[in-house]
Amino acid sequence: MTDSEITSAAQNDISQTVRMSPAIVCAGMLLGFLLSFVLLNGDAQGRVNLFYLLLVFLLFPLLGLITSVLSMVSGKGVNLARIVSKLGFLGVSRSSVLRQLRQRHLDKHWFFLQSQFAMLAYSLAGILTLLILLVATDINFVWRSTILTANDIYPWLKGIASPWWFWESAQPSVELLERTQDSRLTQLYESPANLALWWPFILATQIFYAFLLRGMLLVVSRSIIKHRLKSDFEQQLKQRIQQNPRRQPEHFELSEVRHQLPSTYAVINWSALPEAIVAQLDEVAGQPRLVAGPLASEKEQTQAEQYAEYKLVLVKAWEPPLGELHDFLQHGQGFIYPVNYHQHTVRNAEQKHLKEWRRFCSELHNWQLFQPAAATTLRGDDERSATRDGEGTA
Amino acid sequence: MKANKLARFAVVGHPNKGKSSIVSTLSHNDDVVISSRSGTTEKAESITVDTANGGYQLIDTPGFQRPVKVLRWLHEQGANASERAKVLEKFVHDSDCQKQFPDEVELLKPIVNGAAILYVVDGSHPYGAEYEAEMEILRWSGQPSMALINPIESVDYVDEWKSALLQYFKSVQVFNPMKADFEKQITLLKTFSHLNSAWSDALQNTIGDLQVQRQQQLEQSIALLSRLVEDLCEHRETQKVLTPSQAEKIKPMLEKQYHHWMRERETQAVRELMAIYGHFQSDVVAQQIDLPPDLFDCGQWFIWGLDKKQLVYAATATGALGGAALDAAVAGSSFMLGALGGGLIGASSAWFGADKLADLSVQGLPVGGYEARLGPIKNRNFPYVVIGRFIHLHAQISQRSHASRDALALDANDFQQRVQNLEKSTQRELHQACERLIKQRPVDNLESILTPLFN
Repeated sequence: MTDSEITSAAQNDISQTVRMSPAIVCAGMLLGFLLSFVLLNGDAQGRVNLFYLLLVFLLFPLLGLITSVLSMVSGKGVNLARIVSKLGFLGVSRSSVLRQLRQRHLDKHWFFLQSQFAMLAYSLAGILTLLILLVATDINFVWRSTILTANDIYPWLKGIASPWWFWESAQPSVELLERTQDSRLTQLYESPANLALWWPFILATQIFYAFLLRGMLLVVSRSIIKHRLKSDFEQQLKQRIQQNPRRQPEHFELSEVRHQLPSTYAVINWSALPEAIVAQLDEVAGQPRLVAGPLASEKEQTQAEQYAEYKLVLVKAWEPPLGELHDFLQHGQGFIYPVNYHQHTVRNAEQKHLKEWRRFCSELHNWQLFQPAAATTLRGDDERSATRDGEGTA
Repeated sequence: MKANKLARFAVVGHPNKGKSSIVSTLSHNDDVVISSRSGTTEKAESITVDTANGGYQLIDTPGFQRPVKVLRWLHEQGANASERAKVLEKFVHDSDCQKQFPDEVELLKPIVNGAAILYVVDGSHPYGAEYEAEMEILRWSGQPSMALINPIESVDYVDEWKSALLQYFKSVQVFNPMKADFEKQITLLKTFSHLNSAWSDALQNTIGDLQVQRQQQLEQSIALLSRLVEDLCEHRETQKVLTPSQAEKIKPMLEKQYHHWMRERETQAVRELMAIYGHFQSDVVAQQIDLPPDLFDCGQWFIWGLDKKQLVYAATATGALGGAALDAAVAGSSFMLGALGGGLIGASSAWFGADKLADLSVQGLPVGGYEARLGPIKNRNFPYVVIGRFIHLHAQISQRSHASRDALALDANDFQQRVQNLEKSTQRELHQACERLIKQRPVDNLESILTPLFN
């Protein structure tokens, strides 16, 4: 497995955290089915207390929602995610993901998200159970109270039903309340069909307070986790690494180095090497001299350019070739001799400097690079270091 | 407003004198192409260092190629001193000059447009009179300027250069972009702020921002280490098998996978560490990360982690602390035997378990079959080794110049000394954290525990 594969594998694991955990969803759904079924089955006559339904389908989900949001926002309370991460049955990969989430301070968010999935499953199971039982059996919605009257309860129910004001049949009414009030002593109902009329209200309560609100929280918490994962500094570093791929090493064509000179040639001290240095060069002795270079006059330069025989151009080895020299070398033919010196003594040119001159010469037709034969022995050592640079030779 | 006050510096000079290296170092950007081949930079390239409250722009320019001819052309225009800047502007816009002297036009364009001049020379080789033509051209611009002597190979000729440059530039600084650490870079930026008073405030703000950025980089590095050490200490390799004997057979394969994952995880962390400090082009990650010694070379661990004596001390201290908690729980009626016993157990396990790595365990699965598990690592020294190696790398990478393209040369460092120099209470916290890590228990404040080690 390569490094990038490990990196992406780790990232994939984390990105999976925004998906639902099947075990948690199944647990929520099972609880929803059981609780709804027990509750909606009612007593022997199929009577179901409206208040109990509101307790399970409205109050519990709302309280749970408020508690988890407050806990999330304040960051206080027991970190259930950490407890979950220590459970043995989770497996290595899940534990690893939870560790990564904890490192990014997202373990609580993950647990919050999973609890939204669980509650969604819970409410979906409740809705399904209600619908199935509505089809398969008779559910009689009643309410009982010792001290409350229909007029007392109505404003509360009206408030609860306000989010679905557009759904007429799911709105409570005083008349319906009066018709569905139950007493365990008197069981006389003018019209038993009225007892079923509460089902749209109960269904709407489930859909809005349990399903929709949790769904909204799920979307919000998912986007928070996604955003936090994306803005995590490690994730951004990975992106920067991808955006800055490594460059390939350069490869140049290099000319060969000559160690022999013709018998006659004119010497040009192009780089204005000190005379004391030029005097140390055996190759200069007895040869005619021409003047050219940055410090030469135009007349001298022209004369040097027009010289038709071989020329030996002395240059400072450490200075890279400039355009001025390139222009001059368009005329005539000969050799370029990079000279190195230190404290008034001639030294062998360094390989890294020679390489630059070799590259330069490879682009010239009538010019070759010259180095005295004695210098090659030392250069042999440097050649090895050149190979390490990854640069090719001609 | 910010753009108007943005300080702009054209880095100019002979080819191959380190202009691109200076731009790379001062922009903290190793994406600038630095080549041994002269004339690599053919077009002026601007790199903007953008910070929250300031910023500056560095312009990498081609080297002078025909300075003598250019100076001759300028002289031919017959301008007096007051007209020289305009002549230079004319040169830049002249179509013939653009054809004949493309490099000079390209390098002078930003200067004509108001950039300050940073003239770069090599202080390791003798001064030459041929440089005077280009210095004279730059003087014609009348722009604020500074000369930087780059001692590429040595400082042998720095003085010689200094006396020549001072005739053309008011300020001459020695600056080696390959070796300049963050502090040296900041010092140079401070001198830049004196070049042009209009840029002074913006540059001061930029320096402040860069120092804040530096602190953030340190914090991110610590967070990175915190995640790395946790991941490495908790990692396990698993494989489903049919029988326990099959688990024993696949142990070598699991070990190989386990070691590979650990090494790759460390490599990933180093790559990210380099990215924190803006290094993307160095060889260290690709080839040199096989740190000496290898992560699993236990024989060499004491170079990176704690030595045996320190390890025993750490285990004794944390063991005694656990025992002391027991003593406190029974209100001292244990006669402090808990602390004594805990310390002894810790010490002996550290001594005898010094070479212990990860164990193989086989667990039955509820649905049938078995799971072979290798890891997590048991060795007490392991977290210290990971921390020691990372801190050593951090020390090198955080001071590494962005001009440097060489592979990092890594040697063992003074991690043990760093631990020794910590306050006793901080040492204790570190030992406790490492003890928890090796037991796969989360350490909430790991980053704050690791911070003193980076100071």
